Amino acid sequence: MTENNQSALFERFELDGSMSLSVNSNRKLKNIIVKMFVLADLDESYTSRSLVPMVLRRGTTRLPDMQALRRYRESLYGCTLGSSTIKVGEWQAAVFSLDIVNEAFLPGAESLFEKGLELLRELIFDPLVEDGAFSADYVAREKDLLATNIRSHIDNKDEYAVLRCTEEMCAGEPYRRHEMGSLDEIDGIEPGALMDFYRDWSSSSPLALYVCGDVDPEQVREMAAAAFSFERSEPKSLSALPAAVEVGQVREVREQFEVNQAKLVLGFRHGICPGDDAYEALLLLNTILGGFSHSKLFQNVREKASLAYSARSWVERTKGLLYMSCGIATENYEQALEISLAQLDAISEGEISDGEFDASLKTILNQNRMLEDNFPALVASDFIWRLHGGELDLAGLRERLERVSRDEIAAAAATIRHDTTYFLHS
Amino acid sequence: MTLPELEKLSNLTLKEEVYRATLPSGLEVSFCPKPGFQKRYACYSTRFGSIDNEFTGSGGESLRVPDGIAHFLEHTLFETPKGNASDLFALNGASNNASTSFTQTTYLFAASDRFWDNLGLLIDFVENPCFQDDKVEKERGIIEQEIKGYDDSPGWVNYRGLLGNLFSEHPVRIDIAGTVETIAEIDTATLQSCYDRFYHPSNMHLFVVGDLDRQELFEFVAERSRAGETLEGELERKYPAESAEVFKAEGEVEMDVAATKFILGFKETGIPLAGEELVRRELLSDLGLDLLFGSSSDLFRELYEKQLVHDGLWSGYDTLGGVAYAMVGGDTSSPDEFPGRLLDGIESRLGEALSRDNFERKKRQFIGDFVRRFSSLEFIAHGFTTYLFRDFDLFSLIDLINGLEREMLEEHLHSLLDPDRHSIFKIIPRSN
Repeated sequence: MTENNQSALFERFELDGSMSLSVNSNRKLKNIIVKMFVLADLDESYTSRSLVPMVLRRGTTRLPDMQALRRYRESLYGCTLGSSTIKVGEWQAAVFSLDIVNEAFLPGAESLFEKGLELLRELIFDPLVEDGAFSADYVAREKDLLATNIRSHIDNKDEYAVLRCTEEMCAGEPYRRHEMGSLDEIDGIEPGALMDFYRDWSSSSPLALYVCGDVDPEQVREMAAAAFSFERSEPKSLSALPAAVEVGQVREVREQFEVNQAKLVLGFRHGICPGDDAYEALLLLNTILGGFSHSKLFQNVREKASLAYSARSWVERTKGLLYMSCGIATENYEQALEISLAQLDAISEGEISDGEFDASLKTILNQNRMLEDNFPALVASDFIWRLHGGELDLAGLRERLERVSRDEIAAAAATIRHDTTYFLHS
Repeated sequence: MTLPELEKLSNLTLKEEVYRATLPSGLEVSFCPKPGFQKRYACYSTRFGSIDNEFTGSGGESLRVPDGIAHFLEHTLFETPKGNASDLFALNGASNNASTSFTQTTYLFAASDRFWDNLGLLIDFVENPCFQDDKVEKERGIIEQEIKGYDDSPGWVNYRGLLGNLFSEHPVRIDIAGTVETIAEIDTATLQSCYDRFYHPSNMHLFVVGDLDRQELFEFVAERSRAGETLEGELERKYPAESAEVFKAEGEVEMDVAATKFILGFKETGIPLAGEELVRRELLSDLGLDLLFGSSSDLFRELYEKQLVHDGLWSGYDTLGGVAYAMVGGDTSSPDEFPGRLLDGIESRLGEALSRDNFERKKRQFIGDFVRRFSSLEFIAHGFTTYLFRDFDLFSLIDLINGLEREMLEEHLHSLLDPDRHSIFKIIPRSN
């Protein structure tokens, strides 16, 4: 790729205070989408780090409670303001987002984006402070809510089964930690200590700001520099990418619940990341295996054996994992397990039909092109690529995908190791 | 070939246009140009959903079909003589899907290239059914697992429970997918009779959005889509008489949940099936429910501060087949105290919730939300189709929002949130 790439998706700027700014200027959006990532290691403070954005959304110095915040958002034509916590490999990021109408489509509205950006700044960097700490009431309520949210994992059996499979597979590794935190840690968090934690986190974590919409990048740079210009400490360096883990005998875990449908989740390790030689082969492998309805898992578990409504696979690309899952009747465990594992074996032995290969390549190229219109996904994908030292380059990715051979896919499949079988059943 | 004249709809605020035409077969086709987008999106929809289980067949006869058949038909239509339609889309690289609601079935695809191959495929598989006994059997097993998956979803069980409480006769109380027992009665003959009536071009709509040439599109569809046979008599849907009273005031189910989930619902009957009046009623309901229960309301603030509600309250309003319901739901750790407080709050807080300031700010939010959604091709396609099925044009929604008056809202909410027509359904944590 040349230095001055005309088709680059984002215009990049480095702002003071170790903040990067990436702007995608386009004529497609009627709104402006803004995301701020605050990045850290997924270390033992993970519960506090997940609680902070929840406390922040309760109120700022100027808009001290949820009602005031919401009313102000309504007056800005209902802009949305969100905060969440995600896990990217063994890193944890708080994601703050703003979605606001572009005032070009609202006769009479003025400086909407500027006000929105200022609101985002307040949310992250200007929280309500009482006696030098977070509001004790807010912290108590959000601790309760976080505990309920963590306990509620069980409400969704599909997600719960994946979460449990991950905990078992990665026991002893930071990746076992859920991005929302741990129930055991919540009780001990105090408003004062949380404020100290917040001050350190907000002043020394690397920041990545993204803006997508019909905007002038230079103008966005000026506005972002004005909104986020304050003293920050030297950014903390993050831990390196997770090292490869040896796989021994397959772990088997079974848990019983009162359910109508059992969930089978299989966890695998591959260790292939964006930028690696085998990365594109891995993406194609997953497309052939279980990414779509033409894929082997859907065809064999659902269409041929009629065992499940959903049967799929997906790839975690920073820790280097692959999962397969299906919802089945409890008594079909052996059959579903055997059929699922056989699909990956088949790929590693090169059993990829012309139809499967062709459909998978076309599907993944199609998805790749359509990503250009899906800005939240584009931002998320670029963020991950940047963590791997590159940047999202859809055209380059397409070129590399088109060059992948069946042998390379089979070779990638042969490196994938089955680590854990998790079965939630009645 | 001669094409029917295209009607152009436009909205100057949104800077959007839609072209539409009715083909000689009766099929309505609409197109929204979106220059610059990679994605091209098409959805082919019929006015046939889970509540349409009693109707006049294509020969004029009266029919009662098994519950869940619209959804079952959606699944089986994918089986074509050339293979499964999803596999055929995959060979073109397109992603595709289908869905069935109470009133509508929709087949869709999204593609960046090979658009015409994909559009031809969409039209062909929806218009040429091939119901076979063995495929119907295979699909029955898959749908059984789909239904069992829903049965483990607390949110879905809560919603279904509430509708079963509110309505005693109307088919809205039946699960969209039916039950394991009712889908056992479905065979190729019942599927065909539903198809003949509801998949007639005059009952369908094709919406296309993306960077395409409109002349080429309308010509392609006119050429590719079928003529449609002559049917005897008008399609008449029959819905049983539904009392204005709620069927049951309360209900609950135990499941593996961390906190009690509840939905408070209100019932309405005698609602128009289509037209501006219906759409205004929906808007007023959504606006009113958000004003009363949204996180900017005083009622929510009070409930939150008293720790009666965990996080947010959600609300919604739906109209279908002559009935309607409003819902407000959330999670609580005080399941006994909470519903009473909520009902009292409606009574005592309604006036202040509808203050002029609150009303104007909320209207502003609705306008902003509406404009923002036009960034999404999916919203444009589905929004237009849904409103077209209600004889309303989506672009006009912005004028309708602007024209809403506080007095209308007050009157509407007093009638909608009638304490004598409410029911509550809860999902409570398992006691063991």
